[in-house]
Amino acid sequence: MKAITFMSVLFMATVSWAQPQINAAAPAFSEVDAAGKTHALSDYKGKWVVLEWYNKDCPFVKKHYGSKNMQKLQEDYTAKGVVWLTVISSAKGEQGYLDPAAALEDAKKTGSKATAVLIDEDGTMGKAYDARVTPHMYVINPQGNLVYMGAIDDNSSSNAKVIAKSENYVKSALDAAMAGKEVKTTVTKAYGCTVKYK
Amino acid sequence: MLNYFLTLLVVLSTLVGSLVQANNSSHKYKDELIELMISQVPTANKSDERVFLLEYKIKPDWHIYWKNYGDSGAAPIVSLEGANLKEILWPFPYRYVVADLHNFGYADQVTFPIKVNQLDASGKIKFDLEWLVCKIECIPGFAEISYNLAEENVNSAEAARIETEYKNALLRVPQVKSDWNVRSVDIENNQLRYRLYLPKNIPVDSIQNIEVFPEEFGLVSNTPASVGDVNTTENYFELTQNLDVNRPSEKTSLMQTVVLQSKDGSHETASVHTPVQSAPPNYLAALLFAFLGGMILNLMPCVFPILSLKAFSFIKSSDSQQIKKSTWLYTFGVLASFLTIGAVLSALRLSGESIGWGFQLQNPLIVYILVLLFFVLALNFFGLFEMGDLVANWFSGKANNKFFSSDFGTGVLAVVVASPCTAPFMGGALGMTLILPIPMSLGIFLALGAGLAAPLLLLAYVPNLAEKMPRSGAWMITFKQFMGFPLLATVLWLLWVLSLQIGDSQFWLVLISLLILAFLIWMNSVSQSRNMKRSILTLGLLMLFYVGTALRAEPQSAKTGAASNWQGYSKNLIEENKGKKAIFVDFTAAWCVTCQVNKRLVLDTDEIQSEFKKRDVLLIRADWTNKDPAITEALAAFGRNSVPFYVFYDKDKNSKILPELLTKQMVYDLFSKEE
Repeated sequence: MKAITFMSVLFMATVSWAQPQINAAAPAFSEVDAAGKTHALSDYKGKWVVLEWYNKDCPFVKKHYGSKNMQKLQEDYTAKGVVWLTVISSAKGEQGYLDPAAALEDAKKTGSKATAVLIDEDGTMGKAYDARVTPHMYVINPQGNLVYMGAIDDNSSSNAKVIAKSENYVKSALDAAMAGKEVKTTVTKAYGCTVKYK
Repeated sequence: MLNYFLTLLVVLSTLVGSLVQANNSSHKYKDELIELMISQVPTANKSDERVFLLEYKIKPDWHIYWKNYGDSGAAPIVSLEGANLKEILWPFPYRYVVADLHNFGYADQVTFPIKVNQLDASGKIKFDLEWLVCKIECIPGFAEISYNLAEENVNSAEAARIETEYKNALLRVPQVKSDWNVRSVDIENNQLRYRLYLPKNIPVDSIQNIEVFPEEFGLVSNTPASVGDVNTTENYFELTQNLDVNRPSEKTSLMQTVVLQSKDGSHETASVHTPVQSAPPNYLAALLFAFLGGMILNLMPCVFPILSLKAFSFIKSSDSQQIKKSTWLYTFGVLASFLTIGAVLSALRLSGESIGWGFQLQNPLIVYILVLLFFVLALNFFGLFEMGDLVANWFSGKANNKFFSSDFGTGVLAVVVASPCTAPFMGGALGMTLILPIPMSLGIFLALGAGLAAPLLLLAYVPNLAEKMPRSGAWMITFKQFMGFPLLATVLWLLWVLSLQIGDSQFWLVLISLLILAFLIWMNSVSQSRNMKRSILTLGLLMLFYVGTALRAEPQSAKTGAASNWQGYSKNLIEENKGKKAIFVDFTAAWCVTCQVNKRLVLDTDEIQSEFKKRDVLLIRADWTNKDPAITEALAAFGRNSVPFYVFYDKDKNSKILPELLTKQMVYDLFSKEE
């Protein structure tokens, strides 16, 4: 075998990333929210859970919040008993980071109808879910298994005008799964800004 | 007064003129991070198609994205008003790693050629552009650029620059190249390992860096492929990639853009087909299928009459031992021939030729030789001459004539006549020979041979066979004459194949040569003088030689079947319609008997044609009668090298492969999922 010099180092860099699986148990977590209360996945056994990764300065998050699209989803589904958790995994000093008080303030300002905003400053929850961008969405069923993960909808444009014609994957997954039907699209490529981990 | 007005007029027109000028040069956009420009490529105009160049200049340290942006980001989006966006050509990307996330995109500058058609009569097009440009933070950008084809005003220097830019951009767009191949695929524990074979003009030891970018999300991880073995003799890289655990099981393959960077800094790129099947090919199953296929070959009209020759020898001999010995010799003949074919195909494969089973029939000269062979055999069966007589006189009594009527020779003959036929089960097994290491693929050919010889061999071992056989008698002659007819049928079929491959005048030459041949053979058998016989045979051979060299394959206009509902094979046509329509691709050839049977009994029947029409299926017939590298490559992408082969794409781009022997129910079942 002849020796060849390679410029870039080529090894598998997947060591630090988990690979959550559809129809398998969602990764456990335990995080403190902006009001100081601790939430763990095990608390919500028997309920539908939606996880939404958030960065207030990301243009793609602004697309859904500015248009009130995200808030409406939160409102519609929390009314049906879904637990909606917004997660901020930005490290301190990075884009999107909010301390608890600022996070509460921000939620009030945007009119968020989420059940709670989790502050994942050290990024452990994000890494456990392999959350790469904001918004990155996950739907978990009452048995604790993942039924959907990926983009919020099928149009990666940052222009809010496309929302009306986009298929909302979270809505489709919840509507199907909650009615006991098969979820058609279980995994999609999430679009958005990278999560600013430590 | 007049002077005043004239001056005003001049001033005004200059002003207006400069405004018009500004419009012409306003196919541009600029902000702090991005500068972009749209130009038309005049030399790339087709009747209804135009090509534009979208040139991006990006602030240093920032990047925009490829069509598959990787772990994060967003691809640039182009929408049009006043025309239809036919295709964006994506030059190969670079890798940007930001905090463990792998993104694919471009920095400094990139040019996208854009193909546009269905232009508005007004010639006005509006380009609506959106992109995401990132360093660590990301900033979306938007631009609207109007283009008026009627008001084009480009000087020759600019035109030359556009032309060069276009050519350079095209070089960076990966194409599917038939001489870049993925083989020896192994999948274990969500790890994909394979060999990437490169053409001889790109030696692996001249490559400094290799990058593999998946063109689609969700099948492999975006981390770099790791390089294992680098083999300079066979010119391949062994690569390993991680498969996504959540990949959908219906997806059997993935296109990836491979980028090679040479030590001198230049790049080579191609779009390579990579299987991501969960189950590695099962070698034992392949051997079994090859064996079964070989057995079924015995029933094919090409082979069956030859078997009767062998069976007669059972009858003539009164000795069971003799029968067994001669059948073993026959078996060796079969095995040796298949081994030779396997060796030849493997050698061709090593040298980079992409060929498949039945490829020999793509050459009209070979088809002609087979026509002659079957024709002469049929004449022999009818009793026009005796084999020994013909050959003995040519070799003037040497022992060589023994070969053709020997048992070993019959075995070779059986394989030669089997070559135009492909039995069910053979296709998949043969396809595997494309990716298996050579000793293993030779094993498959041996299994084929074993299958072909097996029935006779089994028969030879029936106890007291000699006693059980019917008494030898005149009926044997009648039976042999009867067997001449399937042989003639094969001749007719091969002539039909030939007619599709060569021109009319050459075809007449072939028919006439058959007549003259028959006459010469008859003359030979009635003539008494040895010299006469010699010269007749020489004359015959010369004539055949002359006709043989006169044959040239002529590309035929696509005769697409009775209903003409089938389109010719076009990769673009398939790619364009995937996801929009259901597509049925029929890989067939005139010389493939099973293909013709499937056509007559299933695919071209009114019932099935109307079902296809009802479901709005795009029908594509890939005709492999003559050599066609595009079709050979398409087959290889599915791990096949023989026909028939049928693949169906549904509206969700899922593909399904159908078996070699079709039934109508199989076609109906394709659509049952939609119910």
